[in-house]
Amino acid sequence: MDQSLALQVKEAIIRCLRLPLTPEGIADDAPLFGAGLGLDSIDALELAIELERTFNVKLDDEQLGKRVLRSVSTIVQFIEETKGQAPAAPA
Amino acid sequence: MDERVVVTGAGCLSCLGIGAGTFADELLAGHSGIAPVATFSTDGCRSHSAALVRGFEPSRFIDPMKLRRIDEVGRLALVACRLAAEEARLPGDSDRIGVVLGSTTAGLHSTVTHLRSLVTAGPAGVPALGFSNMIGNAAASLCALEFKWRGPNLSVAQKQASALAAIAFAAGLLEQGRAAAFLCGGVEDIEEQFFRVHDRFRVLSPADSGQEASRPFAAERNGFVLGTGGHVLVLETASSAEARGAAPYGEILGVGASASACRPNGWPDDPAGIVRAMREALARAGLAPAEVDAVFAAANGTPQLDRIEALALEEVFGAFGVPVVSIKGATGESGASGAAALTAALISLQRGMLPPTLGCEPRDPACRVDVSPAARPSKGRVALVNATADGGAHYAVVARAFAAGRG
Repeated sequence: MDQSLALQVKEAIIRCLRLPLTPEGIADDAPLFGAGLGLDSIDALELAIELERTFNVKLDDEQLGKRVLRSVSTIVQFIEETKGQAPAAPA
Repeated sequence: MDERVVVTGAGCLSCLGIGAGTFADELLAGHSGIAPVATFSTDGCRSHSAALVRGFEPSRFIDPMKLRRIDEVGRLALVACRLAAEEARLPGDSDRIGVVLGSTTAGLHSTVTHLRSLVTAGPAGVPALGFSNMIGNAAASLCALEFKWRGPNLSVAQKQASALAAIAFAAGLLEQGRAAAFLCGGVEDIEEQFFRVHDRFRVLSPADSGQEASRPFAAERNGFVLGTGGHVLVLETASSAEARGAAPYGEILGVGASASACRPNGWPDDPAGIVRAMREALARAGLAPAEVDAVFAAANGTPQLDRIEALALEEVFGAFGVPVVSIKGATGESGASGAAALTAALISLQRGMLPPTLGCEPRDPACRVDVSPAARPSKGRVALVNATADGGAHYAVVARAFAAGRG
């Protein structure tokens, strides 16, 4: 996994969800929702918008959202798949 | 039905500090919470002072994962409710406990943020996180969710009378046996745009004459000073308080409400509405005016409001007929004022004292009310608390303070 992209994703999560955490506090494979970080559906909405804003990827159906927003790793994987290449710099 | 209603707890986040005891101590000591505004710009305004909550660090009280989603008014509500409930030793997780909160600014901060984002970044730039705070009942709902109080949940917006309106409605519901207890009062926080709108309306005491201050009933009063605060009381049926072994501050004896037909943002032209609210509260309390030991007034330094309230007091109690206090010389004006005044009344009368009315001198000879710039002893423990909102809503609450620790 692209560690630089993973860091960017963590920073985006912390920024948009105003989390009282540092990037080091979020493990790549830790669940973001439910028992993990304890995020909920409003956080999911905010996070989907932030991913679109920062990484230009669209999460436009619920099933896709559930699969992608599982952890930092799944988000990074989705961004890499969507881009099919190295990620663009954050907007 | 017709339950007696007592006050078993008070939570204060105020311009004079944190906690109801501190609030009363500071008022009785004659300290003012009014200071130059440092949290936002007042450049270009006529006024530059406000009475803002002092010493409140939300992260000391609220889990950081929850805090990130709660706006300024919600924070005041949650913590003021928590302080009041802790003092009353009121449990959470109850179908018989409700929440009634009054606020003019509930949702304001989040709405301003939302609109600013919409204008500067477009629809995709608007944060979803703040959306639930934009709803006017967010603060009261948040308190119910946090503490699992599943009784009636109400939000009241009556401008400067919001908090006393909340208390009046809660007392009525308790009298009817609709709940065992309510967290009720007012929560208010302001931000730059709210301040600037009031400044533009020219309702704030201006600095340009060099006399910016809150001066209830004074000859040179020239407008009010905006304040903020979280002032929440626990109102409870006497039977519930007795069953829990709670030691009440005092008892709510009667409430009254009325309205004057006046312009939406104007003050009434005559005292009739205030007179009716006070007389209704006294009638429900079964008391004659002579049995009231002190009035905690709505007067906030606005020329018209103070004049009509003085006329109303003269009509009900006679000229200089009852000791009168306005705490707004120290706390400014906000939607939380009525709960702040009732808290001040109960605690100071419990101690046999009346707080000063800061700024009341030199007196206005047209306001024939017995106010004092210094604290003074009170001869008894019955208070009438007034609240009037511009636009013409009036509330009055008659309460009796108990001797400390006794019901």
